Amino acid sequence: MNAQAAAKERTEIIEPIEDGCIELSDEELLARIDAQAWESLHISGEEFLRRYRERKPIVNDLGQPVPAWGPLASLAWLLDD
Amino acid sequence: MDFSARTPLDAFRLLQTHCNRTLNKILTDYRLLLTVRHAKQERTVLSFFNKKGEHVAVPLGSSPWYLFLNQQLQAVPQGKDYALKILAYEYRIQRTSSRKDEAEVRFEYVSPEIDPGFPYSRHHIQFHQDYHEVREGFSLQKLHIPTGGVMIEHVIRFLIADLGVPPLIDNWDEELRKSEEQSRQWMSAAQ
Repeated sequence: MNAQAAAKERTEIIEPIEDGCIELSDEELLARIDAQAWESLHISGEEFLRRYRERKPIVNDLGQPVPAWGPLASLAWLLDD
Repeated sequence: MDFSARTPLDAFRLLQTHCNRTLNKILTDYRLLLTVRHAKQERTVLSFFNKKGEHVAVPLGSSPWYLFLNQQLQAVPQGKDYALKILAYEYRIQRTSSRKDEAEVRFEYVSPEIDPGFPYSRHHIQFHQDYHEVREGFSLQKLHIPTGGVMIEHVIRFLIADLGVPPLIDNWDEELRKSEEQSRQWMSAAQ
């Protein structure tokens, strides 16, 4: 990675701040899951949540959950009652 | 170190502050953020996030390595206070910042609360899929190789001592030992 790309990447990660807390309504959380499911797994948030609840992750050719599955599943877990 | 507090958020912040203090002193300027659901604040996800709220791995100085860190935490009522429980963790060491990229190595924990039927070792380690067929019949990508409970400090030590990530301070070993001792006392109660 060249210096310019590294600088761009650095700015896209949240800058050092005080210990932060992002508080989301259910609608905001669902919107975030939907956007990230499309972007990282190419499925809708609804489809992602169905698979999450049925414990049927998107898997790679070795049958292992793809890397993007876990982070999104942790956000979906916040919605569990 | 007492990780109980009067409110769930206070309990989460105790751990967040401890982790960020250690990370910022020894390894990186980036800080872990909490994400909570407004309607159910007894749970949180502690991780590095970008401005779009996506999980990211953060760069580690001049090294080629990136650290992804994700914990699922629950605050459990204990008398008048709340105690903290780690229900899952995932520490990934990888070569890019993307959560979509395969990690070189990942240390994970899956509690019974997260997945009661998880058949593998709940604390385990897995490797990049390129290691899959290095030795026939023993896939380092597929197998959930058992470990003990892994603390953030263990991962920081591995990054510095084995992978050559430059520490932010010269006396990193001394500072890391202090942090390890604090975490060890707390971890025994939190999992």
